[in-house]
Amino acid sequence: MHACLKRLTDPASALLVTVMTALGYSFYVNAARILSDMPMALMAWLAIYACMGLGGGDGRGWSRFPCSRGGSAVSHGRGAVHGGTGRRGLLDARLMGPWRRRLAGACAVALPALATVLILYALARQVSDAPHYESALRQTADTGKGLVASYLGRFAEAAGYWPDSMASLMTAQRFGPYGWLLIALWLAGLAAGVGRRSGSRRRCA
Amino acid sequence: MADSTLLESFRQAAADAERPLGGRTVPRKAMLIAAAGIALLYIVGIHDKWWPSQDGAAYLILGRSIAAGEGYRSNGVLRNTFPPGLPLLLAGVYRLAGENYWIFNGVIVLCSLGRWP
Repeated sequence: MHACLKRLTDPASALLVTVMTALGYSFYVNAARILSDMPMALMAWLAIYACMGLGGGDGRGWSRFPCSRGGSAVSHGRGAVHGGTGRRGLLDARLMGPWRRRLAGACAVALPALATVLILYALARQVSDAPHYESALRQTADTGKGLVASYLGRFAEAAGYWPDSMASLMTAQRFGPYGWLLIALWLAGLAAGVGRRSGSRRRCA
Repeated sequence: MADSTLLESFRQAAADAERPLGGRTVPRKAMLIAAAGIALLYIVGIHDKWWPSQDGAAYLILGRSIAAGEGYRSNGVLRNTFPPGLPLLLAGVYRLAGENYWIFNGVIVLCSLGRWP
């Protein structure tokens, strides 16, 4: 989380947000319960980390965590993945081109998801009841909307949860308005970045 | 006078917005203190009890069933309600350490700590 935020903002803000989120009630309480929340959050941030690291920039300069420069196990492991001074890591731009890195990122996200779906469907063939999400989809389809409309409706429903998810991801609180604010800031940053890039292109031309 | 001060503050804000990000660095010591503080806080929260919840019970039962070689079953019935990731993780812990809630909760805390870096 800190490494991703550091890339998006600056080191001080990234540290502040990370620490405040770690001290949040929901995260701390759920870390003491045997639930999928924490493993899922770990997987989600790893996926974001992989996508950002693999998809953009030159792939270097990632995960510069505060550890000893003398060659600790952490720094060696990190160097093996990301490369470093005088050595090449798995994600190093000198070894993998941008498309290969994007493909590797897509595989890193898609393969576990595919494996989970396959396991659930293999189980579905053995048991009489369908997974909850599938039965919900079938119920919606049975109301006369049709399967395609039901799928699209589910996407719209998922999009509706986006602000809550954003707020929950950053603050551990499901507070929609705060999520909308985060999304607005993100979109404004995106627009400003695109504007700045097109401006620099015009200047170059 | 107030207007000129306000104008100046807007100018300063605009200048700050133009400044590239990444300029504010954090001392290594502060990073280490923050990391150690969070780690300590979460580690002292590890306990040997099960905090009852419906989903938690299902994950534990499925994990125990996998560890016992009985498949993805809950009370003897095949289940496909829950994704298998956490039950598989818990099954590994069952096989290694038995029904030890220090370890179960420790694994969850490790997952939690793993997300912060």
